[in-house]
Amino acid sequence: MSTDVELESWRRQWQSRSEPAVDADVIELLRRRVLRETRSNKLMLVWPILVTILVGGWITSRALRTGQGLDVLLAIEGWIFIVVMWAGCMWIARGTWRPLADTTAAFVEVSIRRGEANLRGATFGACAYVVQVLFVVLALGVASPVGFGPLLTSVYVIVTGWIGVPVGLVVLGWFRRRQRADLARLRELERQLRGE
Amino acid sequence: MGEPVRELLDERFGRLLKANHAPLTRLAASYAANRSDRDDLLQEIAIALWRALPAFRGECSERTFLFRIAHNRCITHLSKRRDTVSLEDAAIDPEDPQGSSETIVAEEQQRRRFLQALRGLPVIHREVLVLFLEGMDYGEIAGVVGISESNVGVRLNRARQKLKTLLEGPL
Repeated sequence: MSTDVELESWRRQWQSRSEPAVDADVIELLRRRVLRETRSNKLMLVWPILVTILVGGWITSRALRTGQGLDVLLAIEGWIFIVVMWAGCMWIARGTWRPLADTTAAFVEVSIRRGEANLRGATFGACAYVVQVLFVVLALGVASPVGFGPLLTSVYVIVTGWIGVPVGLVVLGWFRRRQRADLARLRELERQLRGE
Repeated sequence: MGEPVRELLDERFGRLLKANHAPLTRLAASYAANRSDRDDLLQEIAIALWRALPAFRGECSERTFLFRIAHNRCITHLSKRRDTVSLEDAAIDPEDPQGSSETIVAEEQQRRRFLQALRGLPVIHREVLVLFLEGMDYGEIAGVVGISESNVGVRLNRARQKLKTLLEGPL
């Protein structure tokens, strides 16, 4: 086989290599992820709206139905909690809804903002949960004629407090570690894109 | 840099990567130890291109520019990598054939063998051969690697001989 024919044959063989679809282009992957998150963020809004309607509706209707001081107190506190959660979440989610431009830098930036918002949101949610559980336990304990003793061993407190809080803290720690690793990777990418 | 300029560059960047994805993947595969290493290298190439694109003034073709960057990244990547290519790495490497026909399997084995042999070449020979296999002429290869066209010819000939020896021997 002459040199040229051999090289041409190798060239054809080389160029016929079928490579898999783009799975290596980090920037393209990032773009897809950001667009996917933008869509899912909008869709996921359904859940807090649903929870607001169901929980808010339930505590309000119970307070109106029974007219008892404790139920009214819990309904007012419940609505304050809901409003604080909404305000806090909206505040944390500022600048994370969509990229400001259709550029790679904007996609990286919004991805970093979302990671930071996830970190803040998780801590905020955990604190709000603990405060809410403490408030409800305190209110029920003060209002109860038998005091705190039976309440602390009730199914509600066992599930939401004794089990819920430690499990929530473990999950929070794991989530934060994962988010931090993700953020470190994104910041490194941002640094590289800036040419630093 | 102004936003419209950045957007134009962004569009150009995306277009270049998309249009040259297959050649770049093949190029990266010839310098990488395995599939994950190849993917890392592709990412490095994409980032290097993003950084270099604003400096492109059209002194050469876009393709030459892109391959020069990719080639430089590959050489840097190779110099950073401490391990050598093992047969195990190459075996798990890429692209399991999507089908059970014997022909496809045989062709895939042949391609893997070729890739292994190519990876066994010294870098100075591999670089010119890979660019040639990607369809570049001597002038383009000279522009990418930074050597004269006659030198390209000499290296290519030596690369061909060595590759042939490797392909004939046990891999």
